[in-house]
Amino acid sequence: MQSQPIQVDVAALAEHAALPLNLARTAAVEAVLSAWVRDANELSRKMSDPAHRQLMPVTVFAHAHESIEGEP
Amino acid sequence: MSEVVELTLAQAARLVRERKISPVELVEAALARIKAHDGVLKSFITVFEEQALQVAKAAEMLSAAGHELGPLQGVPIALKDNVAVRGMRTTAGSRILADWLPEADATVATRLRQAGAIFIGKTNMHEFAWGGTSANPHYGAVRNPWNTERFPAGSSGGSAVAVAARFCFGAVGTDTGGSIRLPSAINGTVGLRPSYGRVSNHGIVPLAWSMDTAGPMTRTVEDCALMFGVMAGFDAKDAASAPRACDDYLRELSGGCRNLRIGIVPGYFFEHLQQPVREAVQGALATFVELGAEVVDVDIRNIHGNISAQLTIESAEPSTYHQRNLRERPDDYGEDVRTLLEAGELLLATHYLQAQRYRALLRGEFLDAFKTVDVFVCPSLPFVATRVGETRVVIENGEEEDMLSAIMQFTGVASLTGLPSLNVPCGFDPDGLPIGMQIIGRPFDEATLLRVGHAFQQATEFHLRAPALA
Repeated sequence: MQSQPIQVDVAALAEHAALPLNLARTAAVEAVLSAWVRDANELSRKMSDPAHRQLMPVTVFAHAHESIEGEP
Repeated sequence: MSEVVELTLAQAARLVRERKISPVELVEAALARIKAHDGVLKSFITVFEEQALQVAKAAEMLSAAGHELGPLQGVPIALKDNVAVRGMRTTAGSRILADWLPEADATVATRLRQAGAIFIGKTNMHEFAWGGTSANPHYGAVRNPWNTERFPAGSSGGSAVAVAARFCFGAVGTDTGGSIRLPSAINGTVGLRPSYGRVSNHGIVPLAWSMDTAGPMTRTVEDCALMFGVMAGFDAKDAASAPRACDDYLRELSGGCRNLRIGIVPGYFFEHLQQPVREAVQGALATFVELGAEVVDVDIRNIHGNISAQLTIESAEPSTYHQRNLRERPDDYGEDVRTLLEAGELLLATHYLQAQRYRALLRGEFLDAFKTVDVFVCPSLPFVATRVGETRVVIENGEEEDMLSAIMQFTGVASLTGLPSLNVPCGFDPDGLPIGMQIIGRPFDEATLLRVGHAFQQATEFHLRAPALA
């Protein structure tokens, strides 16, 4: 069974990110973020398992090629 | 309905090449239909009425003089409004870019032009592609031509509707978390999310750099193969573009699917979905078996977790892209997109990186599975079209779920792994609403997806049904 969304201090996080949010915006974001963070924390726990130690983040699927400056 | 608009893209291009029909006739038919019906459907943001006719007349003259204009010659095509078209308003469905006139075409636009396509207009979409309903607060909510009270999904909702409603013969969409496949499924059309890096993203307004793709949206798989062959290929202007040769997608189309091994993941893709969707996709699997394929149960051990990973990546990356405008012009965003962008700023770096590590894990498991199967088949989404404006959806047992997480339940796998995925219509619910299935393949094996999808369409008629427009 999925656990309840967690309480996220959106105001503090927003200040940390220099993102101005008024009370109404804070509430709107909190409604979305609380479930996201719960699930993201769960995924983080899973990915921290020693079984997955060798996995590197896939930031982009890089297809190495050379781009020579000046070439069209 | 005019017979002309019922032609497939391939048929229309052939008739133009044979000089049996004029590009002017095709454009005029498309424009007339848009004028008659798009006031309700709102699938277009900008219609290129004057320009399309000018180009059509020029194409007509060149064709009459014996010039070959390319595989898409004279055929009206639409482009999602996040794809730059030189000198033409490109809004990305936003107020932020309401007045943007690109100085150059996106690469896909250039390639389609060079293939002879005539641009009929720019289609409506979910604002900045960050959403799955195409309920656009600035340009109007796109409506489903099968039932105008229902949504068309998104974010390429306008493109899917334009194709389904016969406003054009094909359209370009983009897919990050499902934005080609979802509206294709909901509107009964074909849509291809290619392998990451197969089609250039240069000149397309980004949503999430590590998952963005662009692809064709058409009524038939043959048309899809025709458009895809034009769009695909290396582009040095796109740092993530794959420097590998493309297959001849049309030549391999009629190979059938005898001895094909189809993987299904019963513990995920068939667990939580509306019954008509389950029945339609199971029916499709039965059809594949009749065509000589074999269905194999596969366990993808770590498939659960893909929704969280997708949400994390698909929110952190656009929030990064929009950081400046979110501070300088926050009120110019629609409410839903603004909230998602603000939330995406506040996830932790470790959340993002763990999600990116998860992608490596999931991709590895799928690549391993491809040693024993050739493709995977699954539903494109777990429900049929809901009402316009709804933000929650009921899938089973009367329980409401958040629309965004629910809609991307089955499309996230290909998005996260970079694998190609083709939506093919595979049924209708009792109310006549379309249902689609995904065919997911190996990296850069779009040719197999198209071959399998084409074989399915040769054996079924779902793609032949058209919505009756008021």
